[in-house]
Amino acid sequence: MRSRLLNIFLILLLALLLELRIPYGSGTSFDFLFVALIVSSFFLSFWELVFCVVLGVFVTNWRPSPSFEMVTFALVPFVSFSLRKILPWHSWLNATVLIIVGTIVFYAASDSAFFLRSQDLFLGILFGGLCFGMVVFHTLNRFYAVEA
Amino acid sequence: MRSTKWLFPALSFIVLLLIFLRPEAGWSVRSFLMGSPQSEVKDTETLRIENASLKAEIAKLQVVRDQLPQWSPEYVRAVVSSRYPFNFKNELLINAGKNQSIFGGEAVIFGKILIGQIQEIFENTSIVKTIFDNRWQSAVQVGPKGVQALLGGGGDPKLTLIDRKAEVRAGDIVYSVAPGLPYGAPIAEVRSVELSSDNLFQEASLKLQYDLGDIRSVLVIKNAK
Repeated sequence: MRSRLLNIFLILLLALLLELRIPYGSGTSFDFLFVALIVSSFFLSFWELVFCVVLGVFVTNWRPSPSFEMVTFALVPFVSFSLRKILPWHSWLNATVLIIVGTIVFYAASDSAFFLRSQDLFLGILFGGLCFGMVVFHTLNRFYAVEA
Repeated sequence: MRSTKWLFPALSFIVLLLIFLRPEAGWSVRSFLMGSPQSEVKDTETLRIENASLKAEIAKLQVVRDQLPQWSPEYVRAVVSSRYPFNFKNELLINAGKNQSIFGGEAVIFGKILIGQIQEIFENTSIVKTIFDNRWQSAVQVGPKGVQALLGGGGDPKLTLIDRKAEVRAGDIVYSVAPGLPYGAPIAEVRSVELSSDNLFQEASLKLQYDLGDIRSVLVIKNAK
């Protein structure tokens, strides 16, 4: 159990480092940490997920007061946590659907005009996040079972 | 087992407290993970080229400055504490706020180049909306003839609504004329000019002399004219 949590921490750290160091387009970046949190919700218990999400907010938050984007960023992994067993498909397909829907919800809630303004950019970010999410999911699923 | 049951709720609570009481701790962690700005590891040759380029820029800017009314800016020096982490906006958080007599709307410059405007203020910090933000729009003039244009922000800021017959060339300096921002503050240089898609105006792409990700400190202008 400890090693599973430690490995998920390392994956979250890797996701953050990749997000910070690999820019996508001009002034934009992939949302690897956000995607990694959605995927982690398949392998963590509720309080473990709470801790990981709070840590994610701690390193992502950029201002001294709460913001709508940060609240959405924190809520989506919990929605994923709630839906992971309700969705009828295989867990990898559930993860795929939740990464796509979670990213769309995050962008639509934070800045609905983003889709109209930068469709290509959004699709690139979504595709990059999905690829990263699938690699993380299959890596974790190889060693650990999806949480009941 | 009983002790571990409370471990994650307790740890989560502690981190939550940190987020609300000491958010700067998170900014420091993120800044550490981002690593040193590229400019710090540039070799001598690159710096020499940049130096020559900057000298050329100074010469160009001198021409603009000589045509402007003289004024002595009062400013507050501030350090960039954190940056907007998502793709929707382009904002910086700087360590100057109400307690440093920032009231909102002040221009923010880096090396005499206008990079943004104070948008939101807190006790000891402020949020700067930069010209790379999609919401940025401001009146500017271009080149020695002062051709009017609208600067639209974004990942690649560009000039629009330039008179179709106006003479704008690559290399012309773009400077601010918007109310509330320092008159004549240089913003960028024209990279290329083309007709707009409706053929009614000209548009220009811009060449900026800095990388926003490398900026660590800025000046907040308090008496813009």
